[in-house]
Amino acid sequence: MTHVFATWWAAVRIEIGRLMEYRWNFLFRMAVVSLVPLVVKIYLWSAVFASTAGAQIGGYTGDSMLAYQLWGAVFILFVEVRTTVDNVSTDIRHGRITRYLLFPISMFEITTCQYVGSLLVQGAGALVGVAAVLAFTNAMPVYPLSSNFWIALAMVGLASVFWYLTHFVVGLLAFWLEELWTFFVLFQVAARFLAGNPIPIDLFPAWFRTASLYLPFQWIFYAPARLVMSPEPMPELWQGVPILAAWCLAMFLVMRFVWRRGLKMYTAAGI
Amino acid sequence: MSDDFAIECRGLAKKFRTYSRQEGLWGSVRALFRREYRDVAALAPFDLEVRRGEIVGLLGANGAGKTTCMKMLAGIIVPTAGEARVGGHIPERRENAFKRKIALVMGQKAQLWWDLPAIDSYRLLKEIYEIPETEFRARLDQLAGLLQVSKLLGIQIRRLSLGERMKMEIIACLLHRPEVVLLDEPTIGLDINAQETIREFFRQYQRDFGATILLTSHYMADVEALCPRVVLLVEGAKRYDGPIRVLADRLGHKKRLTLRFDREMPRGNDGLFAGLDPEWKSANEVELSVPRERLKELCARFLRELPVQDFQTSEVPFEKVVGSIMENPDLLT
Repeated sequence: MTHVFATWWAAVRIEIGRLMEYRWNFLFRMAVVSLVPLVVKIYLWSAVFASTAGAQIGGYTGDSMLAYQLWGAVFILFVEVRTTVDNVSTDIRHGRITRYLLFPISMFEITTCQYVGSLLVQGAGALVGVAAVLAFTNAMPVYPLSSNFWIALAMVGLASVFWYLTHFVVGLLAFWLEELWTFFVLFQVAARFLAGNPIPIDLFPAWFRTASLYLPFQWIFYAPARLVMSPEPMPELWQGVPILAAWCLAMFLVMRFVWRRGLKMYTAAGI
Repeated sequence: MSDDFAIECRGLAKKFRTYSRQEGLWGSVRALFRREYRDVAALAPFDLEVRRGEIVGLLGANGAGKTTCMKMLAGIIVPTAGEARVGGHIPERRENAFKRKIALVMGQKAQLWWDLPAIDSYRLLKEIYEIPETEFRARLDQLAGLLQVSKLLGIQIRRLSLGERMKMEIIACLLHRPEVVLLDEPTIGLDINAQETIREFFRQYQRDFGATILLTSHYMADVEALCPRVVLLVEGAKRYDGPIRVLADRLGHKKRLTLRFDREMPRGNDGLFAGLDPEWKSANEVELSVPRERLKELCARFLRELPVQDFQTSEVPFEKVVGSIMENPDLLT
């Protein structure tokens, strides 16, 4: 077992090394990832509420909406990790997964380790951004001693796993379909909307809120953002942890099924 | 299936499903709604037995089924029919024990991480194949030394030349010391020196470790240098399996005669060379294919009747022999 971890850690390190190989791109990416989304949110939502001082939208004050958007933006950075999983479909189409089929380790293991490597880098960038905002503003209230905080972190971890597995499965469709770009774009747009990214879920109609309880999306953005900024326990949102865990398990099983079926179709075209 | 063989196939076959469409914009529009699929037989039922420690060359024109065969033996693709055993394993099951025994070297495909120095990829392979540190260092030093790339291990793969990259790929494939090595065009695109280095390297690797090697190459020099036995595929079907010399002798009953003249010759002389496949190298040099039994007579005649300054005889290159078979497979029957 120790050896398995050593292999995984070597694969994580190789991904971090790959990201750092082009240092200017790496440093620029870290700066952009960590600061730009937060700065944009601050200016955008400050401007929206500036013209209507003291007004509320669906119970959100200017400050609470800003906090919601900022925490959501940070959590998204831990979920939507730009990594090799985005290349699964092109790797299949161009026969590049062949190398993984020759190694005595699965492609899923290697790709997951690469994902973790990218997550560590992108997450470090996100934390730098959070630290900067916390140091210079009070726009991101946080209560690290509350149970909400830790449940939110667990939720973000599971959301990251879910997002990764979903992308992996969509990428595997390249065994059957030649071009998947449209699927990825559609999925990302729909997922962000259903996650409450532009508009918090509690501003939607009741039927939408009920339906989204059973979907994985609101637990990616809306729920952890609400939990982390609330000093009072919000047990009605804690159910997100088992729901997301169930979605992760389901997606993992789908991934295994699709992978096994797909490999039978694989022609290693291009080599 | 027997333990004596490192590679064994019985009726191994592969069909691919492809679709073709009409050319142009209208063809694209039409293909949105209706596609005509057809099955293409890439490899007809194929039998092969390769003994442990043997080196066999797999020959054939483009599209003959060589790479398809290699892919099935490496477990990358699943056969449509038949069965194969490599190192005692069924490749399509892709067991880890099987993967530890084989290597597939593809001349046209990079397996290393493009943006990283080779040493980083090797470190990962060390963990994947569970190679102890001291053993890893010893193997890497030996392989890099033999291929003369020790000083390049810390340079990004993408910054290396084609030949250097190929050598790095070979090291990656052999670090775990595989019993069965599948070489698919390992010297393609390389200069003569790099080709010779790689040929010599594999000759030594096979000698030192008794590896079984199956080689495909478009360079007959690779095959002639490494493979006492060849298998010839023509349009997906096996047409010859035996010693390379027998194949060469069967079709090499001609000698090559090169005549060099002391002046430029009018091409009207081709009548004199009728039936000898004249190949003009320059205005005063021609190569002829001469039946062995007529060599003496024709040499005497050309020396007598033409302004020959110099002449030379040699065996017909194996490359030409195989080329003739590709053009006319009936030569083998």
